[in-house]
Amino acid sequence: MLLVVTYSKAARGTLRNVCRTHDETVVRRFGRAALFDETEFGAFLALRLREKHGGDVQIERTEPLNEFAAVAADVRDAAEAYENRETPSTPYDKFAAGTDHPDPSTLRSRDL
Amino acid sequence: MVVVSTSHGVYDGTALDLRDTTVAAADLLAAIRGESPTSLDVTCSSPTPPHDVLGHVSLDDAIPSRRALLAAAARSRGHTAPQRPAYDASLRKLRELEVPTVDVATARKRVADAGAEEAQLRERMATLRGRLQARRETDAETASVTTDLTDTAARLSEVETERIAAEQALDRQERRAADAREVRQRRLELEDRVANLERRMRASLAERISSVFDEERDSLGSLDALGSVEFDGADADVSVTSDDLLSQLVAVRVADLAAPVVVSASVFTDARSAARSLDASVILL
Repeated sequence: MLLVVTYSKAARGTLRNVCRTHDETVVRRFGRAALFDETEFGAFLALRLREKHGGDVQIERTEPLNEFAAVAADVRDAAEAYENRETPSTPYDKFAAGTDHPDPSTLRSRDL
Repeated sequence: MVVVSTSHGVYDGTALDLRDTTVAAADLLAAIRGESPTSLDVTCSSPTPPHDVLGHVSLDDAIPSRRALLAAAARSRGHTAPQRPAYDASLRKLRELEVPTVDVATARKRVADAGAEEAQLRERMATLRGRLQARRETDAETASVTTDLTDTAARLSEVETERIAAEQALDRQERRAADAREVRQRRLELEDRVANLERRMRASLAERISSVFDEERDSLGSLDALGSVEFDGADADVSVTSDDLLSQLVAVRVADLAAPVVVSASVFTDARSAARSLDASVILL
């Protein structure tokens, strides 16, 4: 999908109008951002916004995350284990300490 | 005391009637506000900011909201909103923000071009390898295909290098664009804050003066002329109701405006009664 984020009042206003007029192409709208269908028409709408508002419009192409293809197993395991922890108040760094789970700084330093 | 020099003659006093002249309201207001050189020469006390909201009573322009009218009247009487310091500070910060210009499009184009050429050359390489293989199998001459293959490989290597460089340049521009978006984000937050403070200032200023406004409304409300005003503005998009007009007249009456008020709505029979009703210097148009 195409993620369109606006960074000015004017761009936000245009996005609102576009979303109102083309709800068949707009997958979801969140305040001053929206997801457009990944069709040429979606791209056309996004590019019109960028043409009108320049850098006040950010356009990203999104794709679903396949955690089994893109994320290392220890990260998936850590997420699963942490969400099933016994003491809800334990922060993750404490939870990971002394286990095989990666610590937060390691996770931050590794790109997907 | 107001002095207006027009091509029709000189008018002076605190209640002027220019209805027989061809003076346009916009020119007259510009001259009063000293905005742009016009054919008119107006001498009067300098208008204060509330004059922008209250200085023209007309059926052709949209009348500001009741709250905006009251807030302007309150400001003219020296009231200030408690949110003013926060508003000024936010506005100053907003003006100081500078969003850096980042050209990402050129970098994107460069990556796309290099990628397209690279793909084309890879396809060409595959074709040439196939051809070479075929010629070898049939013991045909291979020198020209080999040369072609060597040239294409060299070109591919160049284009690959260019594509990698282009991708790195795009990464840098994307990072700079992301930094610039932080500033844009901050600007948007400040704009929202300024707008919010503006609304709250208007509300609190309007509140300060609303009881005076209501009292004066009763005394002006009996104005006979209001009943006979033609509420069809020249501009079809503007619909002025008698209630809107009355609010504007009352706000002008309550306000303390040094500069003259231009009245182009035919509400008053003469300038003197207009000045009296509005408690201000008046120019009828």
